Amino acid sequence: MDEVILKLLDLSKSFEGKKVLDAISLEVKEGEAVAILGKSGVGKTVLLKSMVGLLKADSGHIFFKGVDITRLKRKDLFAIRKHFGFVFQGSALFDSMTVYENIALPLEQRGLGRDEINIRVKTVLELVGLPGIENLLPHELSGGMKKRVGIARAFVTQPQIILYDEPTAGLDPVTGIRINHLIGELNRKRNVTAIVVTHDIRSATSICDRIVLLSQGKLVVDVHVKNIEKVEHPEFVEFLKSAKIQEVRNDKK
Amino acid sequence: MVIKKLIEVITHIGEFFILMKDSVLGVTNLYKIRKELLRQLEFFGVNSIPLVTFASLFTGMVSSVQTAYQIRDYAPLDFLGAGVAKAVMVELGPVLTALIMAGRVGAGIAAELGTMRVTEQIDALEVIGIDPAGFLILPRLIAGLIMVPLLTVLADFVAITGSAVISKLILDLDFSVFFQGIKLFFHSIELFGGLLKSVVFGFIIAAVGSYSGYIAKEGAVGVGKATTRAVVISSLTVLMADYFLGVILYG
Ligand SMILES: Nc1ncnc2c1ncn2[C@@H]1O[C@H](COP(=O)(O)OP(=O)(O)OP(=O)(O)O)[C@@H](O)[C@H]1O
Ligand SMILES: [Mg+2]
Repeated sequence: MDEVILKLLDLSKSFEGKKVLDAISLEVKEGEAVAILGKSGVGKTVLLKSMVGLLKADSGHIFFKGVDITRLKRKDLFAIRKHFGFVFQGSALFDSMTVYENIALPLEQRGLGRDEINIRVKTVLELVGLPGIENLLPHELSGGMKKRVGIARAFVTQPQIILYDEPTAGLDPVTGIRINHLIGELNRKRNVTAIVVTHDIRSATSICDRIVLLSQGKLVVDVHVKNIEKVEHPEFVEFLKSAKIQEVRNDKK
Repeated sequence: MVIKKLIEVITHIGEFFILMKDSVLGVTNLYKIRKELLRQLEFFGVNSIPLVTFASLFTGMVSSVQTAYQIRDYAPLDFLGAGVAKAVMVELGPVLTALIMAGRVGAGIAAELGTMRVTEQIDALEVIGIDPAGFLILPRLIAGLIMVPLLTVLADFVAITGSAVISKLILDLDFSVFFQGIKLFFHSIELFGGLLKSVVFGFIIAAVGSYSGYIAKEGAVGVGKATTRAVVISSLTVLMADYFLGVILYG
């Protein structure tokens, strides 16, 4: 349980001379749920994509269970990605495929039989609260439904770790809470390690054990949720305040 | 400035060939892409039939009139069929079909793959452990290699038929004379050389469209750029390749 599943070491990435990630180091243990907090445009997506090699870091290392994935050949990288799930900021469902085909694709890739695939797709759609939508096309779904299908597709292969890129951004609060609940459940009940990128500190505290703050290319805060009130970093305090303001507003209603 | 641009172009060419290599290596997973291949065969081939027929019909018709006008002072009209058929099989059929396909299918491929790129669908494939090159580009390459030559055969046929009909209607040249002329001067290299060219053109259209879409960035603007780029570069490359293949085959 206490084994390190993902470890970043001095990870750096620049775009056209602009340093987005500046020597980032982070350790995530198996079964942990870590939130990566940060303002819009600081590089949260870049960081998350680097973790699975979708973006090549300029320097530094990424270890998945001790294997340095920055050194892997293309083919081996594809093999190791089978342990990952990834929920994209914009869902990234394949628009030429039905919901069923979207979720079945990673299973077909693993060579599962048709019966097994059918069962798994059905089960996972029930899990995300969308039973029976197998034959719909992505453009027939609402944003929240797409997000949940995206989660279903990431989870259907039973990966050891799922990376979520703003799973609740742009959704109504009710759907947001539902998705947070789902992520928490996958993490606690099924022991799927979760790395959740968000700029909503409240969903961070509700799902995660640990919160890190990305600011100007660095991880400036790394704190257990129990201790967030003790953090003094001004940006983190700002995030906390913004959440509290919302709470006050909610109380008034 | 110029040097920087040149390096950029060379880098693109290098990356283009690496991507094509990865795509072709995807052939070991052919059974996994059968659905996508069927979709592309339809998109490339079946859906292009009306456009290619229309364009080649008029090209064939105008060829009659033009050729008759050009040869009228030094050759009898009996040679008209041969002249038109040669021009169609060697040059007009393959090039016209390729340019139409570059505009229709090349642009479509670039737009579709470009959209998949900017909406992270290509990233999503990678995360699933599927090589997007083999999964997305290979079926398009195969469709191009098969369908462009087939459409060229169709274009040749329609153009020559159209030409024969117009020769009869306007120039009062009998069908038998028209086709006799074709038969008399026919060399198989004219037909097969033209088809060989169209195979190369099919590859160019699919490959350039795919690469252009694959490297798209910056949202909708980037997809627009990718589409334009695909049409411009594939059209120019087709014309360039046509010259060099012409020199090799007939020079
Ligand atoms: N492919 C790219 N090419 C050039 N610059 C990029 C690229 N991807 C990201 N960037 C830049 O890196 C920075 C971080 O982008 P990123 O998408 O990671 O932000 P983010 O923290 O996820 O923001 P948001 O909360 O809005 O999603 C931005 O300034 C962006 O312009
Ligand atoms: Mg982002």
